[in-house]
Amino acid sequence: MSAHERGLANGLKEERARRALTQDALAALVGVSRKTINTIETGRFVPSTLLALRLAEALGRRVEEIFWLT
Amino acid sequence: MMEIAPNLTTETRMRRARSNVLFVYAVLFAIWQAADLLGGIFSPAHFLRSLAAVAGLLWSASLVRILWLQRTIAKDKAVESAVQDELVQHHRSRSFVWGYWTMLATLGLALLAIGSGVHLSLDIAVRIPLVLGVTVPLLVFAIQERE
Repeated sequence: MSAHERGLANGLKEERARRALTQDALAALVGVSRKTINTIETGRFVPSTLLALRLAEALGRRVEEIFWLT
Repeated sequence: MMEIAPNLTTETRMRRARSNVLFVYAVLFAIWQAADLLGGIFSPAHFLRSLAAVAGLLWSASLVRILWLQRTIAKDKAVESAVQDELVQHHRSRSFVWGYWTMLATLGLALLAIGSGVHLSLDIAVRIPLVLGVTVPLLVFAIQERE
């Protein structure tokens, strides 16, 4: 697979579940809407670096533990 | 450092209200402009003129509603942040791209028609792309927000 064909995958849902957070609660922690969290988890929306870092911080993980290239 | 948004239901409510009002705004704008345009072509045009007047009035009311909604959203910074988050910015950018291409395509068609000798008034050739350029992005945005 060439570099430009690689997409972004994430383990946001699993990490969120591990911390027993609802989508609403995580959304509130990072200042976005629940829908944004949902679309990131389902891979329909790729977050910015800033939001990815905020999500990682809110979940107490490093960003590369939540987001990675396919 | 990070604060929990005080009212999550408000955010969802505001977001839905905004997509609803934008949808209504776009539809009313299209009806108003279409009726006004057709009223200038067909005669007698009493019905079309009345329709344009009513739609124009309702459109003005929806504009006030949008401004009021924006003011309400801006009062709460946490709600504003959630309602204007980057997914919304993404939807907004995509909507503008839709509007741009729609306007470009209709302008191209109008120029093609004029170039082919079709009698097309300047009013129609310019107004239709402009109306679509306003309506399409709003509808696309509202639909994306509803999905």
